[in-house]
Parts: sequence; structure tokens; C-alpha cells
Amino acid sequence: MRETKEIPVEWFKRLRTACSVIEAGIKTGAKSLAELDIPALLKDADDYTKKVVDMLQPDTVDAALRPKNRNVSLAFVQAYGEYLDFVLDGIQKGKKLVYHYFECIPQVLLSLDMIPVCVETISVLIAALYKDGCEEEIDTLEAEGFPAHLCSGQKGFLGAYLLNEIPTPDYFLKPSVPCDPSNLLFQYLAKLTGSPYIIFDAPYYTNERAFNYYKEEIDDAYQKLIKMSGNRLDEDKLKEYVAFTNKQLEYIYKIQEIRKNRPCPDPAFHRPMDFALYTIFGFSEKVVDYFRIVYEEAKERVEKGIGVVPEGKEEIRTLWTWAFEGYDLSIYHWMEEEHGATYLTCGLTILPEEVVGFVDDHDMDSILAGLARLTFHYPMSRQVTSFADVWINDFTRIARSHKADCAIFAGHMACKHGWALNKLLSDAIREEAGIPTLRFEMDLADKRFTPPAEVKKTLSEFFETIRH
Amino acid sequence: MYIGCDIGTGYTKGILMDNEGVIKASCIIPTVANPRDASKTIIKELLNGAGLKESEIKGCGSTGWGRSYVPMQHRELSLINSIAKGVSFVHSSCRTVIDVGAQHSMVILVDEKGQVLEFRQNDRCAAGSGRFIEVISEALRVPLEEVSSLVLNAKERVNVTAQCAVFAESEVIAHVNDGKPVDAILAGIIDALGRSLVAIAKRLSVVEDIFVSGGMAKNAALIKVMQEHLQKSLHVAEPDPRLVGAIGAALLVKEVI
Repeated sequence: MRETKEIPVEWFKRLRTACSVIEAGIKTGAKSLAELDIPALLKDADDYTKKVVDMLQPDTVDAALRPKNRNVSLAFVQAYGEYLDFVLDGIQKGKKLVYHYFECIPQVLLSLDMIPVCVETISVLIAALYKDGCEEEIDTLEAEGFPAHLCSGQKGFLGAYLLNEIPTPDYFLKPSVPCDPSNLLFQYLAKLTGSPYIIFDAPYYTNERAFNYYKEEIDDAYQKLIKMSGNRLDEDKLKEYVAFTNKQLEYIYKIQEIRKNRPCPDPAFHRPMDFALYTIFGFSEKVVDYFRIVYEEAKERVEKGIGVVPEGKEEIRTLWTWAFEGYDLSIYHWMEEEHGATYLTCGLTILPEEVVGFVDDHDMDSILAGLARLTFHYPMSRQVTSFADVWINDFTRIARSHKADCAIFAGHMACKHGWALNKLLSDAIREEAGIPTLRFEMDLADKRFTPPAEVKKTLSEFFETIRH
Repeated sequence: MYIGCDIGTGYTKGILMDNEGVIKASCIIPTVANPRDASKTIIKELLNGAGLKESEIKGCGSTGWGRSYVPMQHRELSLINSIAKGVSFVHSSCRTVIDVGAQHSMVILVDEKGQVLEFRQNDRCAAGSGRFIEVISEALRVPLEEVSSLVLNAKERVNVTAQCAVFAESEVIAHVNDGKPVDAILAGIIDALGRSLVAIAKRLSVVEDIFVSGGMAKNAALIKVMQEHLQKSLHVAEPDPRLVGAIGAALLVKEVI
């Protein structure tokens, strides 16, 4: 077992504290930050909590407390908080730690008694929940000689390692797609830490032959992990995670379907939380609960004939064709309240039921195949690994089925693969769905690139042209 | 009577429009980094010129960078909507607007009612805007108003590759040191700006008739270069390409009041 005092876990602790503070805040019944009695909330808090609470992003906390967001936000911080407890506890117990890219599903790693940590999610959540986000970490990495136009999702995390805020992992795991810089940044971290880096190859095509190749690659990656670690796959545990996965998928498909309703019954603020919980797919009943609550609240609104847009505001149904900005999540609440702009889906959360389906749990082969298929069609991987048709067909279909009023290409400046396709996609959306696309540049986790006020200004101008 | 104000980073533009949509007066003054004072002056000049009191104005629409600073009851409007509306009102055949202001440039596709179908803006700071020309003309010590005629009469054109105004200035200094004529350097700069604007236009499938608005539309050399690169005819918005945002703002406020 590692010695407790020597293990740096600052980032995980910081996120766990944010989850605890938001959970406690929601439980007070306060419906906005202004209503929250912070001194009372912190009365019995530990020194660490008191130290970091002022660093929390006030607008994001405020949005989480709002009536239409609070139940889902509570479910999120409880689910993600439980996961962070598992990470912190597992690190102290000396479990094998695996840092992975966000398109690696964690169920098998969990069943190998390992701790899966998605690099990009941690950076984005730090950026989303704390005022200074991962800026110091990004600057630290750039001081090593890396340019500004690499992904902050990885730069933040690598910088955290350099600043001794996260521990050395036992392994790295990543698919070979969709972006080259992440492959190489993972290599850099692997070189720094001396930990093995396992990469599984993803084919260019999306047919069954391609999938079979991909599945073999994933199986091979797991075998390498088993061989190197000496850990054994707990099949009963895997079945348990798969059961959670299937329940989660069931709700995700229902949520995607229910957003077809006009007015949209599902708040925009939920989408980044969906993304974060996709990266701990099947982790626990609490993760399932999150998606169940999202669905049940949306269903209740549909039954009552109400949406999430304030009364008297005309709805603008937005389709986010690529990423979202992750450094100020309150923007999604703001655009709904200020402009009546709802959020149908995005390139980081779309999961088409007809191609992903459910994980067949009748034997180990079918389970591993089902999980591989989920990864194969994981958001972003699916859209930019193969021919442009995949992305274009997915989003033009949703634009029509969900009656989108406009599309928004929030282009993370590091996603060259996304930018390379944006013209084809926006042209197709205009031709086939008759709606315009706004495109703007931003950085996923670094607000200095396009500050929140600039994002709001850009969105406001665009929404005014739609409304007019 | 209605007032339309477009408070840009370079100039503040205002128009007075009657109930039938006829422009009764217009005014253009430098903003000089003070949108509050500039809009105050514009309103005062428009009212005094027409012998009107503020209470006689049915509505004031404001747009542009400093739109929130107008010192009278006003409605803030999108610059994109205002430009589209303003150009389409004067030129009903317009389907594309290329607007080049001091600090921005944008290409807007509009329908037959002047409603925005889609738009794209420059995403490289000053490189695609009038400020780009200002920076370079200052560096070359050429008055801004002489740039167009110098370029139109230039015998040669140097190649300017920089996409950033700051880097372009360094490139210009290098050309000066190489003994290149000033008009050839300016021709290269105008060509670089034209190319970057056409690149924005090509991101959308531009449809004719195409009108150019904003302060840079008065630069005939730029219009010529853009026509060459776009291989389409361009028309300059009337009555003054700088006024279209203000005209649109007046029309939009007239529609809602």
C-alpha cells in the first residue's frame, strides 16, 4: 500500500469538496445563491472546505440551486461524489490507477478492481466548478514547451501532475482516435511517469468488419492490463456494472426521445453533467438514478404540457453539433432563461439507440462485444473517425426529428478533426433541415481563450437573428 | 419619427426616419473610444437638426458595439439583424451582405424580407477589418482617405502573407526596407484584406445580389479586389454604406413599436 502522506490527491479532493458543498447547499432548500446562508453552511465544515469554498464558481453554483436544475444537480453531485470517494479510497488502498481518455468505457477496468479516471472529465469539472479552473496547470504545462492550441482537457491534467496535484498512475489507456495531440500528450505523461501506455487501434470504417477488428483490439488491451497487473476479471462484478449500464442506456434513449417534445422539457444545464457521467458509465445505482431523475422530471413536464423555457418566452431549439464550453456551465441556464434557448443534444452526449442498443449480458463474449460497441459509437469517436456521412447523417436526422431551430458549432480550438468537418456539416444542416449554424471558437476548459462574456455576446447576437 | 443609432468602435452613425420609412436626416461622427458621448452627440444633432424634442421620437433603436450607451429610451438590437434589414430595405434584390467595419467583418445571407438566414464573422481579430488598413496606413504615413486611389493606380502588388495586423505591419516594414513602392505595399495589404473577406464569404454559399456595407465599402480598391477573388459583382450599399446599421435599427424599432 502507498503511504497516505505521499500520495497527491489535491484535484480529486477539490472536486469531492465541490460536490459536497453543492449537495449541502441544495439540501438547505435555497433556490439561488442569494438565498444560500453560506456561513451556516460552513459552520461545521473542515478547514479545507472553508479554504476552497470561495474559489467555487458562483454562477454555476447558483444555476445548480435553481428549481428546475436542483434535483438533477443533486443526483449528479451524489453520483459523481460517490465515484470520487471510490477514487480517493482506492488510491489510499493501493488499487491500480488507470488514467484514460474519455472514450474508454470503465466497466471492465472496474471489474479488474482498478480505478478508472477519465483525464478530460476531471480537467473540465475543475474548470467548471472553480473560478481559476485549471489555468495554473495549463500554464505549467505550456511552460514545458507545449503550444497553446493543444487540448486543455489533457493540458490541465498533465499540468496537475507536474504540480503534484494528482498521483502517478499505474497505466494509461486510450483509443487511437479521434485526435492525434491527445495520443502524443498521453505519451508525454507516460514518459514522465514511467507508467505503461496501452493504446487500442480504431479502424477508419464503421461496418461490422471494422467493429470486429476494434473489438479484438480492445480485448487485447484488456489482456495486456490483466497480464501486467496480475488482476483478475470479476465476472459477477462486470455483470453488475453491465446491468447498471443497460439501465443507464434505457434512460438515455428515453431522454433523447422525450426532447423531441416542443416545448423542450429537459433543461440545458444537464448536458455537461450527462457528459461527465458518460465517462463513468455503469459505475453505480446512483449514476442510473441521475438519468432516471432527468427522464422523470422531463416526463412530468411533458405530462403537464410545460417546458423549461420561462413563461412568455418563445423557445429557440438549439442543436450543438460539436462540443460545449466547459468553463462556465451557468451559460446553459442563462441562455434558456434569457433567450428561451433550449439544448437538444450535442456531439459530446449523442448516443443513437439504433446503432448502440443495449449490452447483451448472456455471456462474457456478448458482454465484451456490447461494451466495445458502446465505445465504438461513443460521442465524438463516432462522429469524426470515419466518413463525414456518419456525423452529417446523425445531426441532420436529429435536426429534423427534434425540430431544431438552429445549430451551434462550439468549436474547441484543439479539435482540428471537428473543425475540418464543420463546413460540410453546416452546409448539410442548412440544405436538409433549413436551419443556420453559428460557429465560434472556444477552449473546452480554459475561459481565457473566449471569456464567458464573449460567448454570451456571440450567442445573444445569434439568437436575436433567429428570433427576428 | 424614429431614430436609429449604430455605435461602432470607429464611428457612431445615426439616422432620423419618418413614419413612412423615409430618411429625414443622418449623421456620422467618430466614436473616439467614448460611445456614451458619441451617442449623446448624435442624438442631439439629429434632434436639433430637425427641430424635434426627444418626446416626439416614437422609438429609438440602437445597435453596434456601444449600443447600450444611448442616452434616451431605446431598444437594443442585434447588429447582424440591423445591417441585414438596412441593406435589404434600400436594395430589395440583396441576398448577401458583406459588412466591413472598423473592428469586425461579417457576411450575411438574407431572404427577400431582409431576414437573416445565416452569417459568418471574421475570427482573426483585426485582420479582416478596417483597423487592419488603419494600422498599415499609419505605419506607411499615408492618409487613410488616399489609400484607395493609390492602390487603384499601383503598377505592382507585393505579396503580404500575414493574417495578423501586427505581423502584417512587420512584413510591411520589411517591404519598405527592401525598397518596394508604398502603393505596391498598400496594394498587397488591400489584396490580403480582400482575400480574407472573400474567404469568410466562401464559408457560406453567397447568393447575388451582393452588397458591401460598412466604412470599408467606401474603399473602391477593396471592392475591386473582392470582385476579382469572388468572381462576382459587388455593389456598394446606398445611400452611404456606413449608415445601413442605423437604418436597420430604425426600421426594426419601428416594426416593434
